[in-house]
Amino acid sequence: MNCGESSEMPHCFLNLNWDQSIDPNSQLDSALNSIVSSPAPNLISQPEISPQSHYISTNGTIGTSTGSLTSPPPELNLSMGGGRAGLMPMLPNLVPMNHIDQFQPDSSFTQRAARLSCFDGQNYPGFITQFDLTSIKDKRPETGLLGGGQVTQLLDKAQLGFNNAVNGHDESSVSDPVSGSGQIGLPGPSDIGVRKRKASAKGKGKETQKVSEDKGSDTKRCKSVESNGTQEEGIKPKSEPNGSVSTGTTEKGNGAKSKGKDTGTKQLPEPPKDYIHVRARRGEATDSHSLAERVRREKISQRMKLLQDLVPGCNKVVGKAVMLDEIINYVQSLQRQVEFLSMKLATVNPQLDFNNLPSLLTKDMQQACAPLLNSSFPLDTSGLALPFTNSQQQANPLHFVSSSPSSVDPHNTMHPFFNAITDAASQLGAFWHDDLQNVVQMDIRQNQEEIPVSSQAFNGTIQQAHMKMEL
Amino acid sequence: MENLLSNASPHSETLIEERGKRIKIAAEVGLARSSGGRLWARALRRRLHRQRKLPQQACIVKNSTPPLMKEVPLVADVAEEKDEVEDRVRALQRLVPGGEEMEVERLFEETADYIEALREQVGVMRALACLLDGIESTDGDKL
Repeated sequence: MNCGESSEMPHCFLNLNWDQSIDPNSQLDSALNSIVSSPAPNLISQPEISPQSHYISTNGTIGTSTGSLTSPPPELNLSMGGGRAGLMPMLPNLVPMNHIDQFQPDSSFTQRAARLSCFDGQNYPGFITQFDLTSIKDKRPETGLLGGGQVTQLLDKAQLGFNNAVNGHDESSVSDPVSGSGQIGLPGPSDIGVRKRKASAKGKGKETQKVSEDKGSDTKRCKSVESNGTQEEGIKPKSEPNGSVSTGTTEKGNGAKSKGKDTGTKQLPEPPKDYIHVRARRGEATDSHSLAERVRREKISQRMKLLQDLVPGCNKVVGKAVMLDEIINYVQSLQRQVEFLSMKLATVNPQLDFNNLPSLLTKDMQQACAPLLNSSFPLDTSGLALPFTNSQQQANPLHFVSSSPSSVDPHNTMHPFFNAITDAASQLGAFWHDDLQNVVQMDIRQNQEEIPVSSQAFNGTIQQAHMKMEL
Repeated sequence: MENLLSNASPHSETLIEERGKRIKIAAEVGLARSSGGRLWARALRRRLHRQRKLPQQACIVKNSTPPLMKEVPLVADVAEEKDEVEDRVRALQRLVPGGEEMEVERLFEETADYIEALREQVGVMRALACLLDGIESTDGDKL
């Protein structure tokens, strides 16, 4: 069946021929339906049909969240027969991925995605109940801006953040559907390498935390998911003939199964690492040093991807050096902008009559700057250049008054202004301390007054007082 | 910018420069305070603190931008590639305040945060400049 057709799922890899050997399983369907309806965060506690339910429920949850996946699940039900449990994982993995763009890039999503990948047909004792998303959380909100193709990044981060052991699941399976090239061209033989990994993972059924760093071809990843499914099947009943694998995607499963079992032993160094369990990839050295090195490299590449999102125009670039170049240029340009703007502000007519300034500011700000502010301020979080604390604000404005004598003559008129600003500052101090975001969105008037006041308030130096006065 | 100013009026250049520097310092202070938890912010604060004690010298040091990267060979084989990357990493370390003491992973994190903060800083300053321009134009009538 083609669950994934249509515009809804551009990335749907569902070229899978689910209908092959999927026998409609009434029990399964009912279970699936129940699962779909109930977005259970913890999918592990499912019984035998858990694998499918996991996916479906994940699907369901994601569907409910996005509201656009409601159609696929029923379709999935159709195709998902009882026997083809292994294939099921693919669909749910794939289906939600199409909507990743629409997803709220929140941790819950990554958790779901991770769960999808961590699906082990047999048991999910070590299922990821909690993602260690700390490493991910401190990633910028940019992660939320991931497009389909960048979901891999999100998932990779999720994977790296894994604390709990995933039963023999290769995390790469998570990223597989996500890697979102959107095609699950289930290439047959090419998957074998990938599947081997998965197979070994599955075969173990161990709770090992895997840092999936496999950034292999996307197609391979997709396959691995399939192979995972098939592998799981093989594991569960153990007697399932390879031939029972559905034709479409399962042909790989056959190869995968056999390969998986063969290579399972090979790929199971599973060094008893202390905290992060890394699975050695096929063909790689398995000593602890190289594994740690690999983990580190993966982390670094994750961070680089994050930076790639931040810096505009970095997406087309491939290669560490060039990307770093871009990043450096961007940082430099930002710094130069700050310099330039500070110079520009310096050229503002210092003869402004500060007595009238507050009223001027009020009027002008409301007119001219409100729209400007709204557009130009990336009112993110603490991006304000004007952080304030109560105590400092109240203490320091007094400095200005005391230090004013050293200022230039025209600034004697500043005293009333100082008073005004002091009041405003103390007022604002409390306000701002609580919620910087609101502050930025507040009246420019307050901003205007705050910027010179606060920035100098905290420094309390004569130099800055001069600056303020000159402004 | 400073060149333009200097050409315009040698007398006022110094004044404007001075003010510009002070504004920039204030901006950086704000920037540093906005993300207190970050390594780069702490390093920036330390640097600013030092500058406050020795304003002139610090300004000079701060404003100079040493060449970040040496010549990059066009043909890059593996070893050269690594060198290139290393060069750039070092350049980035110099850019991000406090970057010298960080390892690469941390450096990237801090860079991302620093970029965000810089962006917002630029936004605020732009808005402020626009505002002041508006005020100036209206002030002209009143004064």
